[in-house]
Amino acid sequence: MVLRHELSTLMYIFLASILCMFTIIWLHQPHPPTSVHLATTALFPTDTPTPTPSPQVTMSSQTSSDGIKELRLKDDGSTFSFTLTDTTTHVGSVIFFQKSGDVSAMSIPFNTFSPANTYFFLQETLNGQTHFLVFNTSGEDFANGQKYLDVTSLFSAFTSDYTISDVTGWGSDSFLYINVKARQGDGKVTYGLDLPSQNFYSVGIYFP
Amino acid sequence: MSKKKNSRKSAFSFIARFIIGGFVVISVGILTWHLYPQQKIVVGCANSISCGKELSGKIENNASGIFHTKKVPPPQISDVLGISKTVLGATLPPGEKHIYVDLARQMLYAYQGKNIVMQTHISSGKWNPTPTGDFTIWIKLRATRMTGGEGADFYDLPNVPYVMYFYNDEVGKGLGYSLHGAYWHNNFGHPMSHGCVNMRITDAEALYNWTEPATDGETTYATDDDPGTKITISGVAPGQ
Repeated sequence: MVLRHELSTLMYIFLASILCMFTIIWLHQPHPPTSVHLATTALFPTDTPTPTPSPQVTMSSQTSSDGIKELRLKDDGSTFSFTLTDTTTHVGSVIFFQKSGDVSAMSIPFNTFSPANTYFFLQETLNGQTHFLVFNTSGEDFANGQKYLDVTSLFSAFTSDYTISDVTGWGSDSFLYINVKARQGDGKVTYGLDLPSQNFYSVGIYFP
Repeated sequence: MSKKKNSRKSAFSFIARFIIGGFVVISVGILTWHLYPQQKIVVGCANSISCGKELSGKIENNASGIFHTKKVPPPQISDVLGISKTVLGATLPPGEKHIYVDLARQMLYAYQGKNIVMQTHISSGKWNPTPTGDFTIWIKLRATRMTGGEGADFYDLPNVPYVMYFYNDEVGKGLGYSLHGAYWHNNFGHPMSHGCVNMRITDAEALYNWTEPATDGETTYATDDDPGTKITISGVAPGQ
């Protein structure tokens, strides 16, 4: 009985030593911070502030990365109109407008302008489906005579294996990143649309 | 009497075992501490080629840039690029300036005291992760050249605008991590860089003119009298 008592004491000491050892090993592993500590977490806004819409007219805008171009959307309930302004000369003109109806919503994404401001893209909801439209910033038509390219329709014609989940922005002045998901399964891929050729290319990595 | 003696012996035995056990555990702990030292995160250069060599300002208006095999015309550095003359927080009460970068949301928040003066999308490291922790700006450059990568990933970018290099004890000044404007992509809100925090040019300009040390010419060093603004980078970027 004394021996059993001695053995159980030794076992407890052994277990405590092992626990101590593993605790120290774990503490010495690198643990990067995963969140801002509480004092500052409360300062992080959870939503991007959006302008309070007036009953009749909603305005929103985005500037180009270099600040030289500004695209403004005016939604008066019946028409979406887009005005493009050169901020250095303060000269602006309506570059596109769309009557609401089948198109229930339009917006200007944060990354709307290509890096050298050659193109910009918009997002619209048409008959409940999201479409992404690309325009020449100069206002000129594309080679096929179209005012804009409907990326969603072009991609649907390119492949039926994937659907567009988001158009995120520009990899270069003429290369638009498109995130797609597989129609079957959970596959996610990033494609790029080369504007001059209007060809799609798999980027090879996914830009989440 | 014998029972009392036995219980005293038992208590003494328990205390003795407790002390010996504690001594053994502490000894094992000290031995482990010395044999298994704390592992530090090894951080590489932000720009693998220009790292450590090109941490000085350089304006090259006639140069041409390359990013992932595509030629990229750099912005011409002149006053024309100073579109916004508004200084962040000019109408707000003075307060300590602090920048927070949330890698999970790919957002940057700049505070002056308790007032937020900027909230915008950024692009953190994709091919090389942006380090996390608390940092301090040590130098501000109006523009510099950044070079790195290899093969299809090679990039050579002159006139990278509004560069604010930061450091801490683990991420040294020579590693070249910074906040700066990016003119070769517009995919903010998604990781795109080789470790630096990319921003829209106008956002980088506004931050550059707001952060400390107070901008003085094309190259501004932080000093004891004018220390750099603090930056806290936290979270895990999407896809990492």
